[in-house]
Amino acid sequence: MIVEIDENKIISLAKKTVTEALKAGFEEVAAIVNYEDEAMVKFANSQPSILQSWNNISVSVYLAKNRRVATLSFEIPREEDALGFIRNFVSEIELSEPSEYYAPLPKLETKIKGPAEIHDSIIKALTEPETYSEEILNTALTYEIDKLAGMFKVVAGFEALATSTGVETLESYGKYEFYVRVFKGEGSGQWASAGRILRREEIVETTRVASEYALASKRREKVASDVYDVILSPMVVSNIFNIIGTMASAFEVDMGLSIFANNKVGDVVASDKLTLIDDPRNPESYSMTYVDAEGVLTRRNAIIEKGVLKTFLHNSKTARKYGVKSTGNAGWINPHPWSLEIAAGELKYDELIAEVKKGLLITNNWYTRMQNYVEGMFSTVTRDALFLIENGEISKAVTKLRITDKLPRLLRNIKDLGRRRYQIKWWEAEIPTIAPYILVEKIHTTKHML
Amino acid sequence: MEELLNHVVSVGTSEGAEYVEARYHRVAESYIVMKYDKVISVGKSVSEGVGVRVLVNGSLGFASTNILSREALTKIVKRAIEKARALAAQYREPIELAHMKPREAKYSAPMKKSFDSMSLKDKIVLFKEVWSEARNVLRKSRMQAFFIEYIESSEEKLLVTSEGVKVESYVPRVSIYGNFVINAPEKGTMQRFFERGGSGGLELLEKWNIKERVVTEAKILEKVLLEGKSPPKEKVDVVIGSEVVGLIVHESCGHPSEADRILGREAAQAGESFIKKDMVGKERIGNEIVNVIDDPTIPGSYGYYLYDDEGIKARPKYLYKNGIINELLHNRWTARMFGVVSNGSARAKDYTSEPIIRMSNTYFKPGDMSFEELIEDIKLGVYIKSYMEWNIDDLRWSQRYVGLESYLIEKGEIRGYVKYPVLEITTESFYNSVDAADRSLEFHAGTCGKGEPAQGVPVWLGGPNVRLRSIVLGVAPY
Repeated sequence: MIVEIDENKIISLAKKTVTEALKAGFEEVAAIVNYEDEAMVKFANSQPSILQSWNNISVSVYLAKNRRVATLSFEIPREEDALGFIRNFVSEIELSEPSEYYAPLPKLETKIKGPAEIHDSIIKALTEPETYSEEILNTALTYEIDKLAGMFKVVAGFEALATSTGVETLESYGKYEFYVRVFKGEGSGQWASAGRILRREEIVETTRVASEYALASKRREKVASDVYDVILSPMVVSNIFNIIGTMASAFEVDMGLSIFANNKVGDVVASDKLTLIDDPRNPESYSMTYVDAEGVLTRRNAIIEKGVLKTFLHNSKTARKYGVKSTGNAGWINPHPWSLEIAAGELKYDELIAEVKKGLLITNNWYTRMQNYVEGMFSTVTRDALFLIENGEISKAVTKLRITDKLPRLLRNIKDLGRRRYQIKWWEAEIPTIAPYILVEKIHTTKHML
Repeated sequence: MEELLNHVVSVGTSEGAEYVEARYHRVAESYIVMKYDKVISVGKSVSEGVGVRVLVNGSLGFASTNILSREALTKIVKRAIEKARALAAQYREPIELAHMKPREAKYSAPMKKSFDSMSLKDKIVLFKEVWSEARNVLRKSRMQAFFIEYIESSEEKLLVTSEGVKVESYVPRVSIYGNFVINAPEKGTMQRFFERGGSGGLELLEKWNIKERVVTEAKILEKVLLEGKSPPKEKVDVVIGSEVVGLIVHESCGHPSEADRILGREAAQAGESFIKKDMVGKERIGNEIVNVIDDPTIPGSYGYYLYDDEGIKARPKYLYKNGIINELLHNRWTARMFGVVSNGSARAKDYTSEPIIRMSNTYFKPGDMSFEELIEDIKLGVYIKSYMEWNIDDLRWSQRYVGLESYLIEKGEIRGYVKYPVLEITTESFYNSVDAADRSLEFHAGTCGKGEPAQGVPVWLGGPNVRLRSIVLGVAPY
């Protein structure tokens, strides 16, 4: 269906929304119009469980008047209704109060009209999801597994941005997300992949890794909770760094939802082995974008470089408050990371394992929750294959534990990183993250006591 | 709208679908976000569209759009059928739905005070007062952070299916969510998230009395931060407060009782369940006193509905009854697989969402003691009243709750504060350790996540204070 809406209509609607809101009495306006066509096959018990498809238009609007700030969003059938809501909101916003975060929208004159850069593989998968579904199921069947579950999603769309300060942009995108969980005996393995080009090799490799972990953990033994050196797989790294990357938002810092709440730029916050980057300009990234919600050009930002906090993530509001420039991460209210990356290390997978005298290889986790965001107290439950490493070798698969520690300590205890990276996006890691395996020393684990 | 939905159903059946379900679904929300006593932003969102589900040759398809022309809807239903048909050969076990009778119904959740009975300005003033009182109660620490998000919403649905269902509903809701951080330089910080939610109108704001709650909690948490001691290392009796009990029954009874999870449908996302098909009606999970109920029909509740999103009449379900795994949460597919009728547990978050099995308002049935009676024979114990950190494994067996507002119990009395006691326990051990519950019943609001794409839906989690015997508490390694 992607060809059925003219991209010019998307940009026209964004511009019209800005014009109408200004006419209604708002002083500053930004409007994002998005049109998306999406298909998803969900798997369970080695068969599809449902094919879902979506075909939606959304309009999001930022409004300011007398330093009062509002955001509105609409997924509604009638353009005129959306405009009506905006007009009527003039009287509402006047009842609000000036926002301490108010800053004028940046005057940018950014003009981008992105070419249709949707890769053929995405269009094909959107048109024939059943072909890819069959391929996934057939690939899994080449392993001696009990069953497979998972999800395969493709999206194509347009996004237009117009502002009252001269921004007019139109970007198109096509992307995929795929993850599988494979079961064998007592064991299971889960792996994920995401990006802008759907390569057959990605499907094969993702399924292979999940299957191999499932097969290798099919018999498990109990293990004591202890302080271990742990190797976190890219799945675990993505989940944990989704939280840490989000905590780099200056707004999250202000709200008391960040381990960086008591830090300033230049502080050492991690091991010098760690470099954490937000890179929306990576052409392979699931979330690649040229501009943020204010029309500021996005850029590659090192959040932590060799252990040093290099920047918070800013929109123009938090930037004004902190006396810096926007980093191109708007969010009209809350800046956010687009696409996280952890710089690769130098070690091969086997070399990382060889570094560990007594420790764990944690291939997946879920349900990470914080006791205290400011101090970074957290726990997360291991899931799928978990291996005990003894004297540099995997000795056996073991049963579940929890990582129970503090994020700042985890960051400081990073000892080494793998050289190969994977782009992960799945249910427990919504921000795409390009991550290697990471070795962290002296991590506390717990398990149920009764 | 009804005509459009009938058109969708008619196109679907004429294209060969065995079942067609068309749901108009509109969710409108207004919000205020405040930091301390300052407004950050206000706003509104409206999502309105149609979600269509079809069953074709045993293959399930779902499509949704907010382009509500006859032409666009015809196209999406045809596409859903075409794609479901193309996938049908990949199903080893075709999907079938349990029988249901045709039904027409219309209901709405009562609202005593409409959302516009108070201006935006007055609502802001109300939340300013929370901060102005909370900031002054701390004696030896300061509030490092404080925010409140207030949301009022309305959900309208019209469901029409090829099996003679027509159900129309309207449910307004109000919720408040917030966070504060208390900082005492030599002791560190203590953080509290708080949430209230229910169906109805602005009468809920009066009922909740957020200001008093936040002020009281801030005062107590300062004491816990400054004076709290580690929990005893030996086995002790533990009293778990309503807020924690509600969460525990949600996590270790409600979720594992979802029949779709038991059948593996969520295996790659929220996981599976320790409950197996043959345990239902037989397997003991805890003491006789253990009764956990899921009831969507509680007036004023956050997870309120009277008909589910497949058109099945909602009713209370005893998930655990007298300590036995008693009944699962079903939709029409799982009901067919288990050879029962659906008990009306299918919910969809919005028009972009397929209906899946969800909890509504899940609670531990109260006992008949007073709180004083519950603790009177405890020589040494801990009362865990609230929590922050929690999690549970993906079979819903091994779980962890870290206490926030917690007290030491000595010789039947509350004496002093305990900092971060950890209850890390299996589901079986928890329900076998419960030996008494008091007669209080409180409900707490939450947003439950499940499905792909993830659907957060409003739920209540509730219960009385319950007592556990002979528990080893952990100490958080902070």
